[in-house]
Amino acid sequence: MNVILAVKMYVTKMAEESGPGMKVLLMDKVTTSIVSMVYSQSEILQKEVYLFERLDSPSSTEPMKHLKCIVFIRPTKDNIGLLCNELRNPRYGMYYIYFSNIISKADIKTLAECDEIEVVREVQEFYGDYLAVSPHLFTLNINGCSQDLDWNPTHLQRCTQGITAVLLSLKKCPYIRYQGSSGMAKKLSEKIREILTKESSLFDYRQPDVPPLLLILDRRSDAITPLLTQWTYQAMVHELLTISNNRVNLSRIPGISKDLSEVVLSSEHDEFYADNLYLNYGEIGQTMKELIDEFQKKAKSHQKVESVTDMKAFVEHYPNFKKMSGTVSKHLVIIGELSSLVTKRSLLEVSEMEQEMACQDQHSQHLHRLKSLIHNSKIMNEDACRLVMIYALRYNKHSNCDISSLIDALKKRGVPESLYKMVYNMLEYGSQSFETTIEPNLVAQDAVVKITKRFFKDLKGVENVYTQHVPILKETLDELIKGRLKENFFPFLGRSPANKRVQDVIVFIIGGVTYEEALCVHLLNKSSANSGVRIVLGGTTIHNTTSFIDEVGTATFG
Amino acid sequence: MAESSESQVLEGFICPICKSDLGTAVSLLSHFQDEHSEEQDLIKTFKDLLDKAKKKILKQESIPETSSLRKSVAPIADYIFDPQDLGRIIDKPMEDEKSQGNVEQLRLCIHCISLLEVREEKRVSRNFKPIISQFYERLANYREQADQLSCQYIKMSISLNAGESVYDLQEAQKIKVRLLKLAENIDSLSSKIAVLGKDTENPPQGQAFRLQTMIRSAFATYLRNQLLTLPLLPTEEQVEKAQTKRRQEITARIQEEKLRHAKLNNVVTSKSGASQQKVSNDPAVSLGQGWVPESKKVNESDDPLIEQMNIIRSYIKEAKVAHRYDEVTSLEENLHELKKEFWKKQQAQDHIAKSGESSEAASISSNEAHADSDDEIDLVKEVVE
Repeated sequence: MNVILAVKMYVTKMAEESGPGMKVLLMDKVTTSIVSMVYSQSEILQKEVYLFERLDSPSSTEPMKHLKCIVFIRPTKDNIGLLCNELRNPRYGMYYIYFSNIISKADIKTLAECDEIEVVREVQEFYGDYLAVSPHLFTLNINGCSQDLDWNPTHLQRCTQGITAVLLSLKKCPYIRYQGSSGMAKKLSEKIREILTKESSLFDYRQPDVPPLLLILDRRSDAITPLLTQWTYQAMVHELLTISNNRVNLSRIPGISKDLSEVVLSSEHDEFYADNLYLNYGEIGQTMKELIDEFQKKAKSHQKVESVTDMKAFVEHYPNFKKMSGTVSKHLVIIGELSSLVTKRSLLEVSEMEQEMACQDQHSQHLHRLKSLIHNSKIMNEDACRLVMIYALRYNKHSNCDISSLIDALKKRGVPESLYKMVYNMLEYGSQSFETTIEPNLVAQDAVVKITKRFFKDLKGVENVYTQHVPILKETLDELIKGRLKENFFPFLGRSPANKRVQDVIVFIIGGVTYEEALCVHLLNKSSANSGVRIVLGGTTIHNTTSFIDEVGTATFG
Repeated sequence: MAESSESQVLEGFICPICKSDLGTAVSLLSHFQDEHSEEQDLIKTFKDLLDKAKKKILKQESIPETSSLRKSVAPIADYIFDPQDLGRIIDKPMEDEKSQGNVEQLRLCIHCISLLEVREEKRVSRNFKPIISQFYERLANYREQADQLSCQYIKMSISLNAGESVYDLQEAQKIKVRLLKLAENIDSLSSKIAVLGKDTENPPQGQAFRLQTMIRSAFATYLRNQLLTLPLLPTEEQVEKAQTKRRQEITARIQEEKLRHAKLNNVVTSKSGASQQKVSNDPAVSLGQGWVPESKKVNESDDPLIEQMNIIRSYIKEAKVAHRYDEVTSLEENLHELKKEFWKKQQAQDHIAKSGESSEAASISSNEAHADSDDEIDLVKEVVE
């Protein structure tokens, strides 16, 4: 189950089906991102696709009839209209049309009627209607999917379509389970179920012995995870610099060179990144040093290109050399910037506090430390706020919970109202964060298990104080794999399978996922102890703290 | 045209409203502008025209093609088509036009005109092959050839470096030369494409220019990654060395097998004697675990290679009977190596035997045949047996 491969295969097929000849790829805004996530420009050039055009903003109207046009667009009303216009006055010789999702017969009829000149050779559905970030991770780039704690209808439709495409591209017809406490999860599940029924012919796959499962969760059940500072490479870059469609904007860095103002971080095309994206901050320092050593060795050996043999060897290795030096400088800059931000913002201190509050239960001590941290001027307003948010979520039910004095402290240090008010929004949004899998009248056995776990954990001490937190998703998935995920908390929608074993699981978190959770899934997939379970994770978006706070703002507004 | 309407047939430059004959097109136009400029007139004319059209459509099954069609001018824009053009467009052969005086023409409505124009345009564009397309086709052709050759080349290079004598070094060198030539062609042609039309009065702009640059970029990358990173061929001496080494390895392996076979033979015969003694002189071999072919009478032959091949063949037969398929596989591999050696030896002998013939051609063709299919090597089997 590899979503990158799934989308990549669609694009490859698109490029090859039209046969030999010069081609232009015509896309819309969304599909442009979708393609660029999985295919580098140099790769697609080798498939004879030399030009890239946007359907909604054509760069020119000059006809080029000697070109074949590959169209890859979402089947939206606007796109159909624009495509109709194009077909009536075609710029190119022949058109091969691929829709990224299911298109209605009526729309196809409309298109056919516009094709007066009969330039269309192919019309197909290629279900690449989502952004594949890693082999096991996808996103739909939807920010603010909910308003007033319920679905924005447009976003509900987009989610339904996106998940449908994931299922079709992976060829899965799953059972559906959803987070029982979440109305939004139930709605989305019902929408998916509708599609599975309506398009049953599309989903007519041979069912394996253990049928696949679609699990729909709600971000609200774990609002803590997106608020935490991250220390693994990919998550850290996203948290501090923001990764958007595998791209990082480095232009704000003082003294940055022009060709590094925006860089691509793609594990498919960058070996160093692929090897290091899940390693933590300390470890990447080490691997970076090794990379530089290797680079210097090669660079030194290429400095003397006196003899012909030297020259030959240099030319032979040049493509790798150039690629390597680009990679090295890119990662050097990124890691350098990360390091400077960590120091500037005292992130180690902040993170330690975050982790303590998220994982331990020592209210008065935490409250005290928190107050002193808020007074620390080195810490940014955003970080102070997030700490208070974590406190609020954690200790909301505590008898001595004192959020108001913390808010006062925030006010005192000049945090704008728009920001400190968010603490209350966060409370409203994520109040269930510490309660999901625990019902008030806890079954005695569960309580005992939980208490003993904690006891041993406290005894053992913590390996790394900055990475002690485990997202709730991990617990949920562990239970699922063991076949012990409780049906009263995670009911089936419609029919349920005979046995509770799982093999292929697609998890979707409404409200967004985090790279920390992606790492969990990655480790679960790799672990041999998981009895061959394969998990793909997706969400409405991939959050860092800033985007999450915005999401919460939109969600609780109104 | 055959008109079944009640009205008289009028010919000439007739005003559609007052039906007066004006003589020439110009005077008709000015008359109309002067006398019938009111809206009602136009509407009336329009209605008239529509009625006529309706009548025609309802009464006639087929559209009249050629022969004398009346020309009448109406103020509403109308399209007059030269039947020559129309004939070309609808791919119908036209009879000889230009009959005395009467120029044949067709009247068509706007929609039909545009459809026909579009179709004509499409027909033209299908045959439209700008320079860039021609160059590009050639370029793509070069690339296809280069792909095939480099595949072959890599196979040969690996084989020669390993000391196999399946391929001929000179052949491989020739292929390398061809590849380099292709690379040169690709380089120069793609550069040409990049600057196509730059010195003309209409230099390519926008997307057209970008297309040319991207093509160049793509093929430059292709050259860098595929054609300039091909493995090197060994020199003559290196080939010699590798081959000798390999032959030694093979003979050593054969000896080892012979020895093993002999040892086990002794063990077998001693065991098949009265005593039930446990094995053996050789602690590394125990009868209980392994399988061993029995000794057999083999065709005595002068050539040790042939003898050995026969021995291996009998082993294979035994192994098959005993269902020892992994043994079968390794024995067959062994046999394959021997056959190759034998074949080479044969060739060398033939080569010496032949005089005056183009020896190169002989060895190349035989080597190529040799390289192509393992089936051909089995010819040896036929020869021997």
